[in-house]
Amino acid sequence: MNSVAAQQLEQCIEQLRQGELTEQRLRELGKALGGNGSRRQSLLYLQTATTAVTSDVIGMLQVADGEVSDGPFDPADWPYKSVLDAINAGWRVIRFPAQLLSGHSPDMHVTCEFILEKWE
Amino acid sequence: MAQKALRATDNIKPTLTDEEVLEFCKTGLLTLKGVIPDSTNSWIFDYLDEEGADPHQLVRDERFIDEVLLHPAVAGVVRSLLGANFQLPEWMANHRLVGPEGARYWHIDAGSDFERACNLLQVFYIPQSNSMEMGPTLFLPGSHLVPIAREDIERFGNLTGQVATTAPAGSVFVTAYSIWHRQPDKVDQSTRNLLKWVYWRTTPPARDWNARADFDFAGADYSYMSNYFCGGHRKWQSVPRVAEMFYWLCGKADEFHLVGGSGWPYSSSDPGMYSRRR
Repeated sequence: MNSVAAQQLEQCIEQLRQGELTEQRLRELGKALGGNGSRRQSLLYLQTATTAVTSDVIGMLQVADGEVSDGPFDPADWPYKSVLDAINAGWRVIRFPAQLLSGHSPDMHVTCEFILEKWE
Repeated sequence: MAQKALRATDNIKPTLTDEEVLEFCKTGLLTLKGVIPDSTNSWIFDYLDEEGADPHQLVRDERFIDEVLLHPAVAGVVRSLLGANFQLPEWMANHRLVGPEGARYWHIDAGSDFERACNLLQVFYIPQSNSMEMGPTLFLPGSHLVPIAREDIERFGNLTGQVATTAPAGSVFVTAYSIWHRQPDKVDQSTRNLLKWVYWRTTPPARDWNARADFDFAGADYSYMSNYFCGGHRKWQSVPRVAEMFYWLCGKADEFHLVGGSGWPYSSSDPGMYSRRR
């Protein structure tokens, strides 16, 4: 639930207690709960050294506000040093590295990548 | 009718040592900073500025051949890595950018096979200096030995270990063909030329660069340290690939072997070396 809807819900509960809740007020709450409004999905691609969420990030790309960004050139300036850092900042993992069948070998190289999202 | 391909003559001197060839096997990138003189950079830049300029015409331009394609510093590296009588390019591209341009995707060029061999070299030359604002080509050293689908790396952004070709005018970048590369954002108003071509091997590989008799094949360090590939997890993966490419370049492909575990080429202090002595 977004913060606007949560606020309206609290107001409705209070109005119900006071006997002042109206049909119109409930419809407003429904609109706040049902619509995404202007919210958009942000994506964060993090390539990592291993499949662990604590592994070092070795590559990044972000999609935010409808724009694609490579992130800062210098890795020292990247916003997240591990996937766990990003999770703790509110990102939600929507894809985990999925190359379990191939594994390491002299000929194969495993690219570990997490894809995370936010709705803002 | 197709033009007859030109080949380097016998008098080209190799310039690389064993250690430098091994380093190229690790990185797939060798930078020659500012080796082409300003007088050459200047006429080439002016030519490319002319309306209708066709960079392809440069491959048969005697002045360009002498001053760039066979410049001793450039040709010496190519002679070292491709052997005698290497073939000169039959085409030339100019990745010219005028004013601001958005970034291109990370990619590998068509036909990349990530081979642990060196039958061709892709070379980039900048006739003007490159700053970060000019969208200098980015390379990921070591990636020439890391198989990946072009479709998979297109979504990558900045990568640890990437290097930018910010360099003075007249710099030449010699690369293994399969190296990952891209053009980042160009944000200034300048004109940037980037000439690109390929040299080919015409003779079997032999260790005919500036090799020394006491080079230690058993104990050499074949590992490649890179922020992207290594970090403790990937270093071990580079070792057999680098060693195999180096042995191929030495004309010793038949002697390359892997015994597993910590055997050669990870270490020279184990019984695995028996097969090399047979």
